[in-house]
Amino acid sequence: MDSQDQTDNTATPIFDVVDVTKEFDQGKVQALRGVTLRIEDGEFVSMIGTSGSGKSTLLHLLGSLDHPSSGTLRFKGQDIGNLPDPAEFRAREIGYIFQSFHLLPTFTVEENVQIPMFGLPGNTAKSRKERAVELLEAVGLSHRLGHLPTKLSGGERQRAAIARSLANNPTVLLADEPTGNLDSDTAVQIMQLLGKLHAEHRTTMVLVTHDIEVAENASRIVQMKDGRIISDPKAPAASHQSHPS
Amino acid sequence: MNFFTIALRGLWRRPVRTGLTLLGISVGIAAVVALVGIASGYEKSVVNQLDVIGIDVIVSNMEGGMMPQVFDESLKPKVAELPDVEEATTVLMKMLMVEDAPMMMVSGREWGGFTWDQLKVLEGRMPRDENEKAVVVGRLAADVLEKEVGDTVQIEIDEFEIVGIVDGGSVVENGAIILALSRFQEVMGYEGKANFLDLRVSEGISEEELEALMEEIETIYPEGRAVRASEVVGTSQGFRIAQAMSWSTSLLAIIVGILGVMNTMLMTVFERTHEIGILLALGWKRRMIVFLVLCESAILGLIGGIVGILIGFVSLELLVQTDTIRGILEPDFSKELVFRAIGIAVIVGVVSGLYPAWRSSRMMPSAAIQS
Repeated sequence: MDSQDQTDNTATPIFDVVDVTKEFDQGKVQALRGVTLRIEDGEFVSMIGTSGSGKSTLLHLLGSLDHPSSGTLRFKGQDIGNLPDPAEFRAREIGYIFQSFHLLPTFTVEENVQIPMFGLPGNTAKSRKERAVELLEAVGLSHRLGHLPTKLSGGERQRAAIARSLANNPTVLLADEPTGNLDSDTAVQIMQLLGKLHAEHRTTMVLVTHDIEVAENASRIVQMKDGRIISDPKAPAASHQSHPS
Repeated sequence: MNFFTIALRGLWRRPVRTGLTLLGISVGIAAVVALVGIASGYEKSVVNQLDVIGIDVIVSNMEGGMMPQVFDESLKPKVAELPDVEEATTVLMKMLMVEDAPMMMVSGREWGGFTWDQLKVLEGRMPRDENEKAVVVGRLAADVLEKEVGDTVQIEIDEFEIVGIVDGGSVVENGAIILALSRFQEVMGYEGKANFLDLRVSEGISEEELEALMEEIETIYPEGRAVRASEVVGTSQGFRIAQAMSWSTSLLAIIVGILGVMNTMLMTVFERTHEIGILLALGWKRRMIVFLVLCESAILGLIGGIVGILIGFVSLELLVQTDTIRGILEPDFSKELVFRAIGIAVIVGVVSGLYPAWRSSRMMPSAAIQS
């Protein structure tokens, strides 16, 4: 484990997930079945599992993109499970990186990075532009500012998406299969970039992947299967979730 | 980049669809501009004509059509002797098909009445007396009929010599054929009849005195009404019907426009479910998404309105060149009409965007991203 990831278990965690379930289609689909997870400030956690294991669903709940069906979900001690309008929470605290990049096709790379900044008040057009340029320089895309996403390679698009995720200087980066659409060499570069950002900014990072090599970039690997955590090196013994099926 | 840029880019994604929607709104707004411009232009043209002639009060029975009912000429002396009536003159006016012109104003005027005074002879002369079988034509009417001094013109079954071409100082006067009242009564079979009694009243008459005068005239002629010249068009049942029809047609055009924009915005919202999910995931508030959709639909309305006004203006200009309308009215393309049309267009845009905006605000970001 990286020395930087040594955390104080008595401090308030970034995320405290207690016995969370998530059902779809009126209970016919149980995506999460009583997940308990604690993520400390500055941690780099990978969640690994096969398709349908519930890892992306859990990531959506952490980012308040969806509500849990039951259980408690806290961010820095505050219940975020059923925020009436979680937009401000997402804008201030969360940066998203998606597998398919999800850059808006009619906007240039620089404009794409500005998009999340509209979610927070107080940003002027000038400050948005300056921040976007600064972030794109940080991910090595200063030569691509005015290009449309379609003109970029997969790796460049993901770099742009990473710059966008950092737009509002979030507390947490949530990455959903960030290398899933990239070749292996580019995937390594992207993971190096994410590792560098984590090391430099101490941003808490939660990464979802089905690729063990990618997962190993994190300091902690949480394994999921059938909506449950089946392996977590930091799980408290009492609440370890290797449930019988 | 600002919020407005984002809305514009949203529309620019589908240029063909956006263009077709704009065309739909534009046609609706053009219909409003053209129809209302014609109705209002007719009103203004008539008021202008009356103003040029110097008529203060008109006595007529406007019930039942664009042109008033006829009355007996014996009404004139009864009205003329009332206090504050300076001058009174009778007119028989009809809209007729004259030769190739489908609609033309023919005005039979009491010989010696003040309604002849403002006519300026451009070519030829005025009729010598009321017995001469002659007419003068306004310069627009001469143009429409392709006539010159010395030609004849057929009115109903009678032929008249054109002895002069005149400038009457207004579109309606310039688009008319003018002849002596008695000659026109013969042609129409309305001997001793007229349908307008035009009055000039004493200078300095107060509003109260004018009201009292008009009331008194109405007691003498209970079937008719005495109205100020500026109000005469509004009292015409035919004009009110035409105005109602122009607004009804405009309303239909507006509804079509609303449906067009709503369809476009709904499709846009459905198509962009994924994009809306991303915006929500990136921290956009639902009300920002709603505002974005409304902003896009308002921009559609605004641009559609501007284009529609241009199309409407060109259509009006072309319409008044047609033989049917030429010389009858001057289109009204006022600032008020322009602002009203733009206002309608933007409201159409915003109203059309309400439902799509509401739909977009109901999306759950996690589901939207996966769509």
